[in-house]
Amino acid sequence: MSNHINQRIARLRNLVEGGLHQDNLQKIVSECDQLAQDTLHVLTFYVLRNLFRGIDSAIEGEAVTVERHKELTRDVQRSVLAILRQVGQNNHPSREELERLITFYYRNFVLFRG
Amino acid sequence: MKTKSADLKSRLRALLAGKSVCREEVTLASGAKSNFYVDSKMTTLDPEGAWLVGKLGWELVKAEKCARKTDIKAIGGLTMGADPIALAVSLASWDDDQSNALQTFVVRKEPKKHGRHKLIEGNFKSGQSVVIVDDVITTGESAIKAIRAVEEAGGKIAFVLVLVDRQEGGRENIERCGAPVRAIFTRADLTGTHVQSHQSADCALA
Repeated sequence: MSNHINQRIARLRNLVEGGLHQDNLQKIVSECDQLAQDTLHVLTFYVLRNLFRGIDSAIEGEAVTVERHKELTRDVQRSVLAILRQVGQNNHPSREELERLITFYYRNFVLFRG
Repeated sequence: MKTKSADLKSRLRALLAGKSVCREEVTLASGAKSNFYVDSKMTTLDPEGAWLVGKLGWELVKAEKCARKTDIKAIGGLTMGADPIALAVSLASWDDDQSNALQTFVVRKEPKKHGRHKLIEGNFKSGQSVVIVDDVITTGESAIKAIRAVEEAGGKIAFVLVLVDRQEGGRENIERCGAPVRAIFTRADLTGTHVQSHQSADCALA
């Protein structure tokens, strides 16, 4: 992968580390959307884009209680960072890893909606 | 007129305190944690609240028009917090002076995916001097996004009208972009003696 792409992935990782709050989420969604189109990791970034878009939509325009925010993002950040580390080394994450991430996302949503 | 404005402001402050100010610990859009949250839409989407915001906002716009000798043509901001405020001020301007009424526009968070990929919807024209509006500023990110969108589309920013300035650096960040900020209320105004209801049943947290 080119240096330019590596830098963009590093920037995305910094954003995710910065926290899954609304201001960051909008930048993360936009970055994933572009990386899905600019790299060979189309599926990974498309999954990440949709996942972050879902979280962003859930909290759009609102402040969320600290507890609810924890429910909505539990395990997601850690899991995404592990995936981004692999992508940064130009490895494709396994199907199981992506499925685990999506399972976290749906589990959190059930808690969030409950 | 001053007494009237003060009276309107006092009514709006009471409404915000009763319907919008929450004291539960929340994560804000900026990621910061806070136990002071203003759910502005509970007030700006209330008929009395919208009327008061419109009147007070229009008074501010008129004062700025006069002070800056600028012909302000339109008002709008980043959807959705800005939308009811922009429309309320626009309605108040029309009620006061139809020949100088403000037009309203909406700035999308993302460009439309189809058609003309518009980021700004409604009544905005390149070259116009406009007011950017925001409901609550913390870091000022939303207002700055709207400023950039309008400037890229050829608009000029007269000033930024804010319902509540949380006094956490947003004003400074916006003013660094060259747009002066005028707030109807600051956090201090709302946390003063006027605020009596900190945990309202009306307060809808996501």
